Amino acid sequence: CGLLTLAAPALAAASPGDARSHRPAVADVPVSGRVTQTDGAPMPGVTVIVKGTTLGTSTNAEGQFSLNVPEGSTLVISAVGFMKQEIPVSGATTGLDVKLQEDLQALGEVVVVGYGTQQRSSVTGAVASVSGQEIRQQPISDPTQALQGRAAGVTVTQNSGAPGGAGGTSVRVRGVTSAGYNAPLYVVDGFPLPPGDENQLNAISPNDIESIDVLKDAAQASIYGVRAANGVVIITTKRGKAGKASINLDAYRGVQQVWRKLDMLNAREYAVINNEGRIAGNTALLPKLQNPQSLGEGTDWQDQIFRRAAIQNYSLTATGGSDKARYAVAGSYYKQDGTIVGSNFERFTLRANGDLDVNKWFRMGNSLSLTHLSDRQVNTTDEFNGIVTLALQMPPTVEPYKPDGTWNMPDPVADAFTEPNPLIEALLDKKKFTRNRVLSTLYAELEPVKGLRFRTNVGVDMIFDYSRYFRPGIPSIPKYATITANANSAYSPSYLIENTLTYDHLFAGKHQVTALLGQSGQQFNFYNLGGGRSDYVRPDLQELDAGPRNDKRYNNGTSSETSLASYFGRFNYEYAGKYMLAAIVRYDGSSAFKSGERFGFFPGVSAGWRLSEEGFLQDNRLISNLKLRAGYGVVGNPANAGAFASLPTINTDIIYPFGEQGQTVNQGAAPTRLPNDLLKWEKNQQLNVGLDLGFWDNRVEAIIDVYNRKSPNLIAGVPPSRVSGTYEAPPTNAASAYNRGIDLALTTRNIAKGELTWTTTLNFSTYKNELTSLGSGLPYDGQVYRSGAVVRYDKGHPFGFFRGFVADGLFQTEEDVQAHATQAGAAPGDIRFKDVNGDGTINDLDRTQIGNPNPDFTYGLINNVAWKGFDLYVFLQGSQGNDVYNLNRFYTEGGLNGNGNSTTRVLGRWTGPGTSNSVPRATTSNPNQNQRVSSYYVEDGSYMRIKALTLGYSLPKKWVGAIGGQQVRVYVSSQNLLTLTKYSGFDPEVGGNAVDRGTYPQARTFLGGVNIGF
Amino acid sequence: DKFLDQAPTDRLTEASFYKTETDAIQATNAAYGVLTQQGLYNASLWGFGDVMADNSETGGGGGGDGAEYVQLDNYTIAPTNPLIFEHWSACYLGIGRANLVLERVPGISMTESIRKRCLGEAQFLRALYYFHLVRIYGDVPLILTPPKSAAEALIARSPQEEVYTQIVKDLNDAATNLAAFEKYTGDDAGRATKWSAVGLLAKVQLTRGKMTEAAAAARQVINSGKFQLWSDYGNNFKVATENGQESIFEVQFKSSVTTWNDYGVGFKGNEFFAPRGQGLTPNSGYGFNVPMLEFAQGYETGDTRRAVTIWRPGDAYPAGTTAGTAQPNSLPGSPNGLNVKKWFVGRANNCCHDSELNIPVLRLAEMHLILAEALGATTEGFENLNIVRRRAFGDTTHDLTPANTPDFKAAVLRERRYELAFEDDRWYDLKRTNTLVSTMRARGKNIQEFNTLLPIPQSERDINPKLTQNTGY
Repeated sequence: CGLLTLAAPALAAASPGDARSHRPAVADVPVSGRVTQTDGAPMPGVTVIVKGTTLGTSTNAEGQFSLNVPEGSTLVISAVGFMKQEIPVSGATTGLDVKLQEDLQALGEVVVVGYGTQQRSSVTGAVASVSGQEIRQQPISDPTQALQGRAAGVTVTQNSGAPGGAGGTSVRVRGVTSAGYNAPLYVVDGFPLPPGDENQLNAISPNDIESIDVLKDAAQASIYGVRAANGVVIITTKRGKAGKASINLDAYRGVQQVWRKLDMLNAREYAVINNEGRIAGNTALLPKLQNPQSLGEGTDWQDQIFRRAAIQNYSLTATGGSDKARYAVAGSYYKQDGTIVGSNFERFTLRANGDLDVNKWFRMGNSLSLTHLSDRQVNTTDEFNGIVTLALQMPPTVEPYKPDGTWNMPDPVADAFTEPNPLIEALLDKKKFTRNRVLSTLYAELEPVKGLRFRTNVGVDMIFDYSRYFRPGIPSIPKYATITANANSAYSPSYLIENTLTYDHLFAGKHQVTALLGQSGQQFNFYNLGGGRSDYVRPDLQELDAGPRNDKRYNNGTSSETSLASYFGRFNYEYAGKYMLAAIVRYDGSSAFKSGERFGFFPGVSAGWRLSEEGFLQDNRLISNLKLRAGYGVVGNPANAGAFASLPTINTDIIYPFGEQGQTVNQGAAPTRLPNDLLKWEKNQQLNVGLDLGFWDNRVEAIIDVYNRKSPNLIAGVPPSRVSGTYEAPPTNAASAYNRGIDLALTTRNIAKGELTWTTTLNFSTYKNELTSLGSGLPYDGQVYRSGAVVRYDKGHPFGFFRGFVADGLFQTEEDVQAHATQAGAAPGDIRFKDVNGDGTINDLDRTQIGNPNPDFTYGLINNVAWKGFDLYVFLQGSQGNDVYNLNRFYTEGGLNGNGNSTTRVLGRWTGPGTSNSVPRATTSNPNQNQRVSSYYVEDGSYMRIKALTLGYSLPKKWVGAIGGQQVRVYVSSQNLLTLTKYSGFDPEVGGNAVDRGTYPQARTFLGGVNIGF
Repeated sequence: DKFLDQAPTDRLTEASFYKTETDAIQATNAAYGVLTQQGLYNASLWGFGDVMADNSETGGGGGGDGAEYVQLDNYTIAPTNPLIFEHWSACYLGIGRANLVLERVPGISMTESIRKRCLGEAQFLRALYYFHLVRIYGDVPLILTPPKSAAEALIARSPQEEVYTQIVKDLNDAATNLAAFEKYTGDDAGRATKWSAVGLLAKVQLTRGKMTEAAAAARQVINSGKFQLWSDYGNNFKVATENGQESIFEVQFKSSVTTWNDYGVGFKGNEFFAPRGQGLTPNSGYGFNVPMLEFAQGYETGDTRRAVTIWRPGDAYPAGTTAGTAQPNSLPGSPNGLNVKKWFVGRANNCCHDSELNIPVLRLAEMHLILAEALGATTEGFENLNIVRRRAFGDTTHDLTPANTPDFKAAVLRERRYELAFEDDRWYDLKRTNTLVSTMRARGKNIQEFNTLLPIPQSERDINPKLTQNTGY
């Protein structure tokens, strides 16, 4: 086959009975039959093709088909999500009974490639696919989380365990290319979403998803041009199929709990360390701690903030339709409480997708999704007031509550601790974030001549965000005494209009040609309005209008409008199912750039050769599929340039107060950045070579891709000399980098005998990256933490490596100190830092690469076993060889320096020569700055975890049938059941830049659920 | 292409700015904008002027707390020290904005007097920033017009004398342009006046050792009749009497109202200098910039400036504190129970720990001290010194005379130390009188001769290879 059809809403491309027949060459015989699922349900829209030709048909609403085929040929019967079957035809046949088995694996037959679909066998690029079935194996809030371990070449990290996936999910297709925006382009039902935060997909219910396809290589992704440099993730939602209506109810409920707590000191141990540090630092002991033995266990602050939390999901989906009209409607409710007090997430979704064949030459349809979600999140992302960090630091000698039941604060004198009670930080404020999102597309398609289709697609994505915040105030605690309120409303609409013309034709029975021409315009707007008040006199009236009219009232508002205009074309040629060629060009223009630098070409070329269709392999018993693919393309990433960044803008945020008592803030204005007229988007050039393999009738299937991605003009802020009078680094296309790697997906159908089936899938990804040049730019740091910058970007190093001092054990004696290079403040028991540059002095010049957050490889291993009514799903997922900077230990060993509580690791501290060579001495004065950024905090972040384990049982059909049902399945499932790691923090899966600073830990979840189908 | 023709709706571009009188005033305001930033009066200068001198020590929470100040305190100063970079940065940002005013404002159609005011202010500010640069770094790049590209700013250092010549020229030009602006009241209070320019000129000339010129300028200010000493020394450091009768130029602060940030216009010394953990300020006090014992003990009996300037054990706290009623004998970071009080405002605003209290850059008392120093041990010299002492002690019995003052210059320097304590000045006094190294060694600091200049920031040298490093760094 190999037809490239239009971005069909229905994945089953052709209408029932729409025979793609052509005149047969030799003696034909009639064949007819019926295709059903294993349970006997009829399967409409199933493709029936004569092997090695494009001759075929598809089944009608009853699952029936009939066609004339050359005698002695083989029928290939396939449908999305089912294992294909091949049936040899020896002569005229009627009443063929074909039962298709569900294919639980990702290597589906039809892949969505942008403005169209393709048979997997015709794909010449690198596309990873994950089925909806697979996605629903895990209780996730954000569909992108399901890509983790399931799509080779896609590295997914959940940034935190915050409910609703609010911490975001980092999806990195084939490595990391920039120090800025690395998220792929998401396309939902043909609508490219605006670039945004990394949890924007949490508005889509995982239940609604039919499939996710990831365009990994540039030859394939170039159809999305300037936005495709980080890969393209195409999400297709469920659509109706002709046939009997089916109604499915999916429900689960469960409980979540953090899977690990850190071992913290109790009150007695805490006092001992604190006293020891104060003696060493020549500071007076705290009277409260002077007699450690008089203290008990004290407060376990982790128990105060962590809790068992409920998770639940209910979704109802109805699909069905006739030859003429098909529908899928679904509603869902998802609620997740956070494992940290004060955090929760709730979502309602509603979806209605429809397709209508008005007549033979006109059809139209729509996708409509409405989402309402709201959440309350707690701060776990900043190291100063993050709940987790605070709870770990808080001395166990501090009570969480006062005797009168109100929140207690540590006493700055008696406890010598000034951070706030994490319970107040987590629970005090009344706050809520609400998002309503409408994502809707409508298409109309004309087919005046068979094979020639004109399609118009219009769409809108409207995001309405509203957040409100009210701090009721605690009069007795100065830090919380002020009653404040603020509210913010943002509206982000994006509009799309696209016209495409597709022509599909098979010439002379062997030359399959598909041509696509299209135009697209998309607009991205943003409007924001907010305000706040302070010093409310009473906590009950919480509206802004109820607040005081003082000079602390403020408001803010902004808007922006940007647009993208595009023209694109694609040409596919396939000869006899053996040789394939695809050429893509996209011409994109973005309003973010200066006129003259706006438009660019993004070409992609790829070719495939199915060796298994050649005579010399056709009847090979071992090799059932062998395809070689190669492609090259150029794609872009405009996000790091930012809008209008090339212009010499005036900064009007400069302020200075004048007036007799300095009471009026006056505005100042000056440019703070030099212009850069030549600014362009970042380009990404990618070469991909791939191999598809099938052995023993595809019992073993493998897809292997090797790639080389080059980024020749990455944007780096080239910092100006301050002598210029400006401080902002103008974005400049100065740097270059590469990512090279291998993706491997391997599926083996170990057992497929009668009632027992066992399938294994391995997804494996590895890449290496390096910043090869900074051009005129300078190495620069990532975010700066309390102990200094950790993440660094420099040429000759991988992206975002860790830089710091190299810790080299501890000084044991004064002689050790003397023998070492000059290290200011060092004493026995302090960390010895390596004199990397050998100049005899330990200073900033001795900082070097101390870690690499990029993994050696990541993997997912999925096992599916079914036996009679039982099904077992085991999903192992892991990452190997990545480093994590455990900044949390800056705090959890801060007790050594008199700053709050510590983990029990400090019990093994240095207390004299030979006592420890790893944990430094306790001293409040810390003259050696043991806490500086160093390899002391770098840990191996490798892990392997049982991400999901599910055991299900489907009730026998006869019981279910008796009550009119089709399926009743009950299951129990666990997520993050077991994690194997040497990492000492809460979770080795640390998102973002792999610096762990009190991230919201992930939960272990146990749940039970039911699927009921009618 | 028309579909794509969009311009920013939230920002001005250079094409749409520098058109009106308001634009000219805003461009000038921007040149003031760096004064309240960390690189100048909000961090770097108390590090240089006081912590690095013999007035105070770092203090704070110990350990890595305030590591950048510890480097200054102990003279283990790295070219990567953020205070050194921030200072360089703030001065050059201010100079760049002044340069823009001087380039663009002459072409704007506007009221002539306001144009002169803008130009004069820009000249004054440019001189002030170069004066800071040249004292800290020695030779520095002299840039007087806005660069059109990043490369134009990559220039070499000019000799100090050339920079000083420009400073003097700018101050003379400023005094001329600001001739009609001798004193402001109302909304423009805090802008540079003619006397700000002349007063700064006095200090510049004193620093260069040009005593005749210094005396002339200082005398001009004193005799202008526009200024008068407060009878109460403390009035110089009160919100209610800001920009008052003694003030010649001061940095204008205003506290944050809702959330504090490092780039606001509030002075964070309120929190940073407050006794650590004593609950006197919104975050309980960080206790930085702790007076040295020798300094605190050096006050003469009867000097009313002591109670205004520092906290000593037993000093009563204002009502409503959480920890106690008086300063303890010892505090974390302050073993002798000493803290800086001059910039203390207290719990002005629960939301934010910064304060609105201005910091004087030039005030009349200093003009008397400059005049005294420039004149030497003459009758007029003693008179000017004693004018300042009489206000401090409230009587004439503490007057210095040739009989009890063998070393007049040392006496003036000592007077400056106590009169201008924690006004970011002490290190510069020690440096210009060539007593820095000996004094700091006497206080037990391991200072080297080359430490009379600080290092050129490493990050600037990384960008501009023409920037040579000062010896020793």
